[in-house]
Amino acid sequence: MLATEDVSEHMGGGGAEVTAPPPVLRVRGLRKIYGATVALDHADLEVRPGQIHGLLGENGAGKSTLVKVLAGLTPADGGEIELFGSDYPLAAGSAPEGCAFIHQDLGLFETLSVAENIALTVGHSRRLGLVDSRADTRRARKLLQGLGVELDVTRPCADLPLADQTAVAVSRALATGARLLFLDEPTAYLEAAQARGLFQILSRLRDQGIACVLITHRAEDVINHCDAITVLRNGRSVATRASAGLTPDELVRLISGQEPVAYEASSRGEAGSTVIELRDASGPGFGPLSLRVGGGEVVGVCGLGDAGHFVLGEALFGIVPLSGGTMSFDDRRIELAGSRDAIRAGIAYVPPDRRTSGLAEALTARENLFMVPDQAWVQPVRSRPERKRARDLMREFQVEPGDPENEISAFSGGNQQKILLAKWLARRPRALVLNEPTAGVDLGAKAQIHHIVDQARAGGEMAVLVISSDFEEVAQICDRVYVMHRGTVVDQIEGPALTADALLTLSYGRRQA
Amino acid sequence: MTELTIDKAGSKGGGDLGGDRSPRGWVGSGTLVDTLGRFGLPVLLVVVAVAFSLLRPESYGQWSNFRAIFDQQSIVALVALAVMVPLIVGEFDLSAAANAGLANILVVGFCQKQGIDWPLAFALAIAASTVIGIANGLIVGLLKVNSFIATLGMSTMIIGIGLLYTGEVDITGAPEGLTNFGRGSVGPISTATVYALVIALVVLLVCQFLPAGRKMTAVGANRDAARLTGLSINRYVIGCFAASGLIAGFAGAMFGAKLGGAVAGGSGSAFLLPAFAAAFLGSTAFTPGRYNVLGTIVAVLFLALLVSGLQIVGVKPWIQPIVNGGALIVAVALSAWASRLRIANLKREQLVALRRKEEEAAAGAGAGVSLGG
Repeated sequence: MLATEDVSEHMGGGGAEVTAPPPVLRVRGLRKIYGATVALDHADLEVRPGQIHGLLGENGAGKSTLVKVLAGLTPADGGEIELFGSDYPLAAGSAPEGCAFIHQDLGLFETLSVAENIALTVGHSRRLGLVDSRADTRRARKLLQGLGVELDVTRPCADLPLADQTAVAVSRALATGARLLFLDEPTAYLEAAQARGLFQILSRLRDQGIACVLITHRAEDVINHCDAITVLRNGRSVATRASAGLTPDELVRLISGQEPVAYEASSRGEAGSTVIELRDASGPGFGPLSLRVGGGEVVGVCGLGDAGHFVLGEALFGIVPLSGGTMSFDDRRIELAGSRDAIRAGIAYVPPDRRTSGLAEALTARENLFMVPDQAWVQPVRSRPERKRARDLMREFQVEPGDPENEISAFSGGNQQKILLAKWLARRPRALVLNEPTAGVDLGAKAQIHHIVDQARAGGEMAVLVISSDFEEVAQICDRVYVMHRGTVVDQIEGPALTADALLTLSYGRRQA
Repeated sequence: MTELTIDKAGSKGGGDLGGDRSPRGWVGSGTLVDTLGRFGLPVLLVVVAVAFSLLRPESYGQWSNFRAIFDQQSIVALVALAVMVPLIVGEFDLSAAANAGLANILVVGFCQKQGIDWPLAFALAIAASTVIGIANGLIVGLLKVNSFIATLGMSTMIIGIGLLYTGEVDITGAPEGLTNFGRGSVGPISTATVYALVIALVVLLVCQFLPAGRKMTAVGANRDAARLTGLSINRYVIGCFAASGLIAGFAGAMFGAKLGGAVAGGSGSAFLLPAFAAAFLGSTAFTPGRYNVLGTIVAVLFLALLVSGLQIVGVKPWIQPIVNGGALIVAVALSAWASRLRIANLKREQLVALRRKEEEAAAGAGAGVSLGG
């Protein structure tokens, strides 16, 4: 049944354009295996000149492996690659000419200036055999102007906003004569307006016939800006089509292979008694601000980039101290000297970066779930009952694969995040603080995580605080949202007024008209 | 797969020493490579013991020889455990051997110079080593000095303290009570071996079966995650260094009791390399990738039986440092090679499975057509 669907989608995409120019890149049946993991089973990809081509798929679907093979970082185990009309060896060992790969971290030298960064890649301008930095500066300025970007090219890259740094990375790639760009989640950390700026740059490139492969998790990027998409699922290309007429629901279905999980919040009843309350609290990068979260309530805190909301989340868990104001928990004033105090009070915390601070990758899922075994110190840890509890938890949180003896690194990002949630919710906390709960999580897993949060609320006891820069997410799952701008709460919205647009507007520090 | 993970970066990256590992972890347990990895070391131990016993049945193959080796190696095994405990939380203790050397000096010195009764002298020597272990922990935990540097410095200072205490003169003539204790027997095996086994069992229980062991492993695997789970990192780091000092102190005091004297410069340094070699080699066995008590003990015995066997067939004493140093390097290289081999095998299986699936699909499609026609 799936097979027929795939075929029709292939036809739907390619059949329309008969006079299409030859593709710049054609990948057929690409295969790559890491250990026991089939990263790519049968991947196809076809990119035409001047096309913005979205490469989509859940975490672990094979997107980054495909890009790694194309960049010559790792040899493929089978398949064919045709680049600019000629065969490209599977075990290249170096980046192919005419292609440029821009990773999420951009690969810029942060302490060097924009002009120096570009010169390092394409070679310094020379005068009498010496580096001619003025010529480098002129060249950099010209390159960026060509993209419609005006910035001081003598400043160190680290001083520039992320959007400008992305532009620098793109211009550097173009300076090497690239005709095919690969961008890995370029908008993941950009604010909406900045992301729009990036797509303006990309559409200029389209006019010059430069093609662009865009790896992204954002549905709006795909629907608004891509010309065509290829969807990978479990290492196979399951759909290739034009992006015109694509709806978000359809996208989710293509990516996850399932009907989108309709998000239906459980009834938003009256909030119970106040669980967490901050009064005039301040800390590094935020405050003074006040907020309260009641039992059975999901409250959001959102803001743009550095609005102070992430540090606020850390302060609520005692990771950073409050420098002013008070915090009370269940109507009792508390002072958190560290996360131990917060845990003892009944607060659970899911950090934004699960790899560095959430889970120990070299340990098994079971060991991560029960990092601190809940028993007397003289009582030996018995692995059989623990294994059973771990398996039950993993089933409850729909973790795939469900074997608790797997190392964390064997799970995809979304499943790792579910393990992290399970670890904390298994302790039945009184309050749950989620810092960026779905960052770097694929759409299917994201919906499941939202569902988990909703169920946590449904008990009516737990207070849930969701700290996120994802306005769609916050608007969708929260009952009430505090909007932060430059460290303070600028507004609080709930009910029908709670929309992603409203949150965005407020996050810029503007009042709604 | 063994990740000889010493620092946090290693645990994040999935082990730089462990070679390139796929990001998706391990699936095929129970394969030949896996079993060889787990039980290779104990099998090698038996092979070495049997082979040399057959070669020299009159000398090597006697119980008295094995008893003597167990007796000597009980000190090395204790120092190896002292080194292993901090490794679990991701810290080096390069001072463990020198610390044992100091306990050796102190136990004999307290009896000889201060005229303290030997049991009290024994306890005081262990206490002194424990204090040094705690000092190591405080320097690493509170002052945030890299443990490699901190304990290297401490190790050198300990030797200086030993020279200061002895006045650069070797101490001899320990009281009979002490040497009787050190050279005593319990049934067929020596007292030292019995004590080493008891301490090994305690370390085994704490590090591998009690909640404390799980927490130590978590601290070693990801400090930030452990901290956010409510663990006090310093408590575990300081605790492990204190335990290391305690165990090293016991090893040294026991050695002093067996020896009945002490060298002014400290006799510990000879234990350092065999101890680290055993801890690393041991981490490739039983639970690959994790430092474990059983593996460490088996590794100590394996190295000792190998060296003694080679010496009995006529190889000169130069063989000992070569075997120990070589074992350290081989242990790390072996685990990297094993993990690569394992990945390659898993990959081959997957490729075969995929190809079979494709052939079946093709055959199925062909059959479908012919049926339809």
